Amino acid sequence: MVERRAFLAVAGTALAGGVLAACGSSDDDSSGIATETGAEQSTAASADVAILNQALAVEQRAVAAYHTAAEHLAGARRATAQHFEAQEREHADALAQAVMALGATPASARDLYAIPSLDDADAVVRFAMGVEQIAIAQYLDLIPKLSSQNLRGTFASILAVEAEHLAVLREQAGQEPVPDAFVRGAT
Amino acid sequence: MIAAPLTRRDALRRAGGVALAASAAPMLVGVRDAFAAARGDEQILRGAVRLEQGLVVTYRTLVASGDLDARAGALARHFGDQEQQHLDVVSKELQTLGGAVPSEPAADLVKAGREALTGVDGQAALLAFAGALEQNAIAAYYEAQQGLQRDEFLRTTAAIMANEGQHLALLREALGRAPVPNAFETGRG
Repeated sequence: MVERRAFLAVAGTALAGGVLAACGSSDDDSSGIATETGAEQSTAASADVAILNQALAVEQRAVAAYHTAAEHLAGARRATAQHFEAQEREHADALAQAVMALGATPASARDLYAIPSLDDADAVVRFAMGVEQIAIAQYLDLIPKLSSQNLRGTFASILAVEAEHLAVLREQAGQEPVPDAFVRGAT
Repeated sequence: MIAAPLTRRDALRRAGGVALAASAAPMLVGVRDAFAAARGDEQILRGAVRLEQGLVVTYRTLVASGDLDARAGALARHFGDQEQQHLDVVSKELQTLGGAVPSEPAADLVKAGREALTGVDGQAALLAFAGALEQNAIAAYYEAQQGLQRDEFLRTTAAIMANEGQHLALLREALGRAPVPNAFETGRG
């Protein structure tokens, strides 16, 4: 695709339930969410809702980015993009469910996302790497702001997967996959 | 206490289907339970120092084993260097709290590391052991995220946990498995 700027519709993020369980959460995670739900309209819960929606926006953008990336790739790279898109959807769904568990409404995805010019497969992979770098930086920033300890764990488990995505994408781009001992991302 | 102690069977199961000798279990359990009895930031950081010391010792032993080919050896050396960087930083953070950092890994840790590898033969099993170790480290750091209080320690350990995830992804790949099989990396799966 050679457009200077392409726009795309976001695929829906309302997926099947049970994602918090899929995140490896044990019963203690679920009960943690439920306990926080009981502390209705607390300041801490309100702050967590805002943070969850911020992370949700990151994931919704990532879903859109990988959806577009997959359209521009072929073979193994396409399969990777599709796999990562599915995992970003799982993240988005888990975050949306956590917002609802706190009695709030998940932020809606945008209708359109700006996508840069993607002239070739290498540009697509670089674009995806950029999306992951931003997501990583966002999660690192957000984790300490959460009041819920269970949500911190969930965010860290998502952060680790974004870091894994980045390592795989770097390999595909012919770069050193794990150049830094501390994964910090970039804004 | 922020985590339930892990059974030897749980720890071995995390080798991803490659059979590991029972001698590997104490090291894996030791890493997984690094924070099990920790209360407060200082104790968690002390656990992180011990955990990272264990990883450094293990990767050095893997490299020295002579059982890895050039590519796998380079991977183990690189990961070991990064574990040393983790160790340096968590040691400094522990010192900022007034905690004493042991200059050498604990004797029981060294013993567990040495014994862990005595029953692990061949490159595939060695890489699987490294993967199991990384997975248990991720599980420990996942728990730490739920126990730490200070922002800077949360960020440091989250950045380390993400790096351990990258190590795990490449080790999976080296074993011919999907590098990112799960959408959530908790170290439990």
